[in-house]
Amino acid sequence: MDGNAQHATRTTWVDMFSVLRTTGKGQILRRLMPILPAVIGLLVMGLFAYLGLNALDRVSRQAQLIVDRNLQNTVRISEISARARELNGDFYRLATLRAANVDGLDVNGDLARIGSQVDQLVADLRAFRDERASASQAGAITQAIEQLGSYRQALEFVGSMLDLDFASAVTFIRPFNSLFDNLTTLLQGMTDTTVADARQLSKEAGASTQEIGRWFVLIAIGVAAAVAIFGWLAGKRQERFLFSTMVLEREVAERTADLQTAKLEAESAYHALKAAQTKLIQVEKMASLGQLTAGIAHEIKNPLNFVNNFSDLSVDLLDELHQAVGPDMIELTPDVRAEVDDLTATLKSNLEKIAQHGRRADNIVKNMLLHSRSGASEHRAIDLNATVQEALGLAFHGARAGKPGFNVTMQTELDPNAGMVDLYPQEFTRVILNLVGNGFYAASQRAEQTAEPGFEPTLRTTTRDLGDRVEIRVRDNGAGIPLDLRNKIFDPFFTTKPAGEGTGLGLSLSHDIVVKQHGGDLSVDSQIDCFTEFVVTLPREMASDRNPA
Amino acid sequence: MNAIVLVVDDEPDVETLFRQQFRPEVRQGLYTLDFALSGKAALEKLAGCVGREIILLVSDINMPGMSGLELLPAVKAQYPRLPVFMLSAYGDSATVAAALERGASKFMTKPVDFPQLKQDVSAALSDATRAG
Repeated sequence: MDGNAQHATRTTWVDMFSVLRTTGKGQILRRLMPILPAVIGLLVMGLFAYLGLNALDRVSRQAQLIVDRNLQNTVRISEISARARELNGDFYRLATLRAANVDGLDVNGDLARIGSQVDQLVADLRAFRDERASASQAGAITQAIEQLGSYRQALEFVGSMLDLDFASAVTFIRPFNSLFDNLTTLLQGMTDTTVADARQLSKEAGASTQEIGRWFVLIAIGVAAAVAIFGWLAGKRQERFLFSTMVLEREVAERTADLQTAKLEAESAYHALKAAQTKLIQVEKMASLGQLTAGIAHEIKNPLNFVNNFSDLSVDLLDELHQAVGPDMIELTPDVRAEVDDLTATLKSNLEKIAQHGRRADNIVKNMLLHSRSGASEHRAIDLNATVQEALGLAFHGARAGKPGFNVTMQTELDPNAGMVDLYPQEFTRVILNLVGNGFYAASQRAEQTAEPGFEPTLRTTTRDLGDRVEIRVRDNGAGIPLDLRNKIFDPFFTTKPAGEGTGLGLSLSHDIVVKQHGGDLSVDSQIDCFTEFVVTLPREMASDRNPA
Repeated sequence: MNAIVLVVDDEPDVETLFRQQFRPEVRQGLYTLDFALSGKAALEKLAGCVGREIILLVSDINMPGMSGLELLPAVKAQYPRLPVFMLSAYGDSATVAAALERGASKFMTKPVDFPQLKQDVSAALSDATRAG
């Protein structure tokens, strides 16, 4: 279950990867993925910065505007206030001058001027009220305007009464003094108010700015946090990507390694199988050939016995004949006697040839039968080195006896650790005799045929301990075995010796003994004009279920 | 006393060979040879040897019909004192053991070593003479 879930997850990742890898859009998206949060963050920050700056700008402009206006108002009010005070002053100066009866006074003109100034003041106040005054100011100003209206009327009235009773006229106008005082106070207050207003506005603007700033900071923090979280998530995801990639890669590597191992194992198993098959085919071939040759051998053996027996017998009979007719031979003419002697001699020689070749054939048949023999000698633990040494001596003396003038340098390297080996002594000795005999033949053959000065025919025999196996090497410095013949040398009846010198069964039989009887291995290595080496490998302990032969 | 050596072999030429080989002995009158081409024929000859004494049976093993190893116990059952030599082309231990176990006095491999056989026949003859 777990395996399946894991596998499913893996598959999803793999799918995502493959999608990302295969599509071009995905490629770009994948590249942008890590910087995408940062880009979005920057954009949001930029937007907020823009909005914040904008708001700040607006607030500061507004504040500026308010300050400007208040300043202007203050100036205006001061100016109006000054004019109002001046206006009242003008009037009293006029009144004073009139009371002193100063000549040349244009009272009416001055009054008209004052009046127009009042009008002007009213207009200015009205304008100020309409344009700039706050609601509370507007009320006061309206009141002031109304009072100024009354003042204007009073002025006109005073003007008309000036010639009659200026003093009382002045008395009449006096109550308006407070109007100007009030107006001045009002305007002064208004100036103060506007300054305070400006201050308040400025403060409000500051507060608003601060608030915006705070919001901006909060938003910035929020955005930063969002970006950070998003980045963290993205990083986490990226990490997960990387991690799963690593896991994937490792798993791929592991699986590749597993596959590689499996492949190597399969290959080696295949090679082992192939080798075993080749060996099996060889053994099978030899076995069937062995059975066949054994069958043939049995069929041939009996008639061959007759041939041998009768030829031997005939030689004896011929001798008997010679003895029997010997005394009567004198009676024959010398010519006939010579003829008879010649004929009997030839006959005897022929019979001997028959016997000789019969024995040769018998030898072949005997060797052939050895392939299929059953129930041979017992196997037992023997001293390998001693047995090899014994076989070497036997082979050497045999060769010397068989061929006068035979000489091959013998080298032996016997591993003292070779120890005891469980084997069939007779058959094993036969193998060593065979291999050594072949080596002698090859080395001396080359010595005879070669023109190399100083060539020394040599045969080296070595034993070696391989733990649960032992190895016996027989190496000659003969002409070597051509590669194309190496597969055939273990075949029955294959021989490179001239007719009559070899049966072609020696190596075949040796192979049988080593492989089939002992469960060992017999291999050959050779180099043309250099050497031939046979390697016998035998198990130290024979498999208990192994059939003898 | 007419001592007879009965040779059993399915090969007719065995007779010729043996007769030639044992010519001196037969001439000397030491014993005569008789031949049978099968186990069955051999048993018949043994049964019908009135007035003659077969002192030794020499038998091949590998024969069609009754083999030497079948003939051997049959002969031994009827004539326990008759020595039997077995001859075979197969000198393997199993065959030798089987032959000796069934009562064969001797086992010889082919090709027959005639000088040795002659000695063994003489020995058997003297045993028979002594016993008789």
